Amino acid sequence: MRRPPTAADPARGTGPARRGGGTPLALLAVALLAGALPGCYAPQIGLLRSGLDSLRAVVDTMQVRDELALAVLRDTRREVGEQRDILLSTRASSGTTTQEMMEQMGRLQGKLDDVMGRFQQISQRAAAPPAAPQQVDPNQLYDQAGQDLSQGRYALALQGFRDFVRRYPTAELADNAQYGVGECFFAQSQFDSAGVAYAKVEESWPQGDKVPAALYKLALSRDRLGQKDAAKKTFEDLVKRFPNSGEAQLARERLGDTRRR
Amino acid sequence: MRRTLTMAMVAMALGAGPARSQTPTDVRLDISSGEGRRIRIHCESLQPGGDRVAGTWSVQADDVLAHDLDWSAVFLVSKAWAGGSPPMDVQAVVGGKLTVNGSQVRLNGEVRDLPARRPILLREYRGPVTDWRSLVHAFADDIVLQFSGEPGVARTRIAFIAQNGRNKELYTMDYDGARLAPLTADQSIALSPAWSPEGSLILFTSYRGGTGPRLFVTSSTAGRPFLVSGRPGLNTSGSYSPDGREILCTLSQDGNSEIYVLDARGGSPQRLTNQRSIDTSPAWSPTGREIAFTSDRTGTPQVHLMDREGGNVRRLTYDADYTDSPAWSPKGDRIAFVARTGGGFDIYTCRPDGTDTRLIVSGGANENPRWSPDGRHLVFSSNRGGARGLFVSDLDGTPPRKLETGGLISLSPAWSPRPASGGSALRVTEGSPTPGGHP
Repeated sequence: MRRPPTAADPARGTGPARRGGGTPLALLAVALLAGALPGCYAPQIGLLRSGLDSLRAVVDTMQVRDELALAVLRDTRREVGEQRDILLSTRASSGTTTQEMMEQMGRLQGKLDDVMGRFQQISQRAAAPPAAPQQVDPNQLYDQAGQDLSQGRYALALQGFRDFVRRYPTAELADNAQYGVGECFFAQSQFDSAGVAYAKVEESWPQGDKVPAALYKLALSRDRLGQKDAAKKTFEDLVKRFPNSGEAQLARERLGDTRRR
Repeated sequence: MRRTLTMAMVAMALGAGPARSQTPTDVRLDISSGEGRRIRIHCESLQPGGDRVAGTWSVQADDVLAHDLDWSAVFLVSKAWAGGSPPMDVQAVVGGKLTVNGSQVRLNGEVRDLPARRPILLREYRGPVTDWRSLVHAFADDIVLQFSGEPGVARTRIAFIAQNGRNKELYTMDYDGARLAPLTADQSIALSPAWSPEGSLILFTSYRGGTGPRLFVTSSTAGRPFLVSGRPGLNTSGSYSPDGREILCTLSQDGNSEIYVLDARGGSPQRLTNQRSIDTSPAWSPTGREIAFTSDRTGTPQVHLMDREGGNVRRLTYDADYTDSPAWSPKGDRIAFVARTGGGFDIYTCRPDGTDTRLIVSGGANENPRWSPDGRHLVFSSNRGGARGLFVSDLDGTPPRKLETGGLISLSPAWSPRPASGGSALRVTEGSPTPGGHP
């Protein structure tokens, strides 16, 4: 942090002043000697005076230079101090920043892991359905829904059976799947929806082997809803149209029950 | 240079980021992926403390605990007292301290990982000395839970029929054959026991009173049978619904065997089958929505399924000319049944849709398979050891093990549900490491 040199810059004259370090003292000694001999050598006194003047000038100059030098020294010292302070504070703040940064990075990494995990889950989920229509085996879809039903996962089973009916309405198991839809509702005591689902078995697959079972369950659903007359009609319908089915046997018993009541 | 240093520090911070401090409960291993693969665990002797008798107790407790872990089908057990150091691939070491003070016993159970021996499970069990087996079983069940995510069945019991001459009496015992106790002494014939869903009652068929087979219920701890169904003809094969409100059974009041649902007191009969054929051996699905049963409606006895209300009957399998005795797994994913093949009876399982049939036990006559409440085991009766006895299969290809039933000729087993937590005198607390114990 050197200041630009100026005309009054003492540094410029530093070299010569030092070199002639003994000269002003010698002149002073001559002057004193001259003072000790008054009136003897008048022309020499004038010379001495002028020498003295020049000595004073030199001393003055030297004092100015010293003061300037001191000022510069003070300035420099202050600047060094400032520099040190700046340096120290910079070091401290850079330490804090690093630590903060590391913590922040740690937090960000955690969040990143989180997001990546979620992203993977989402992308897997997202990837599965588009691949499904081509790849899924109808039997596998039906079997899985059946497993879900047997294990009490009714929401999943319902989704599976409905999916099957929508995708493979002409498959041999389509009426079974529709019956499964009814079972999912019946198991959860949603007899209204169950009735609708069972009724659809005959509507959509009148030749299917699930019709007697679906009619029996339709009648039971109506019975559970308190629609006794509608239930009775359905039982009678079942007995009339599928007299040899196991469900017709059960229906006869139910009709016997209702008659007894 | 400074930039390089900073980057290095950040890299270190990132490396340290994902590491989380692990508490004992964080340790859980996934074993579902490797069916049949067991976790190696090493049993060290329990250190006796308190009264002088503790030494004798602890030696017995060592064996009970090692058996429990072995029979869980989750672990491959090595024992410190059998000599040698733990095998190289042992994942955990089990031990602790057994303290007896008068009539009270305390088990400080410890499970530690290897080689660091950091605690995985530390738990304290207290109870009356007379119930020390339950303490050990509870510890074993907790270890199984820790490593498999599901508690074991070491605190369950098995009901069965013991034959003595012409008489057949109802017995219960711990799942490992200990604490055998008769529930009937009718000098009559008892058959086909079945537990209530919470384990307090046992339903069974008996000829007691001399009027043919009738359905009775008794407390599972004290035999005092009450009549549930004494209708004309057969009253057999009773089993409680999963909610305990209904009873499935076979009645022949109409001339031939049909399947009925009764209420829990034996009233309000509802017929579910109505065939000239014989329909019998009904078994609930765990949801209570489906029923597996045996019917000879297609010519030979075969396992069929139907809805809880009857109807929607479908045959389970088409592979054998005779199938019988269905039992639905507690998770609902499989059905065990007996198939006649050649001169013997084998036990198979399949999915409820009839697919994925697997042979579980063959050779001799293997009958009456019943699931453990965790679905990891099947208990069945067999003549494979000579006299008819009870065996357990772990379903993982290991040979069935015989259950010791005090030399009794045993048949028709039924596995109890797990005991309700807090239902016994047992007290359990999270423990701290035993001072100076179990290094």
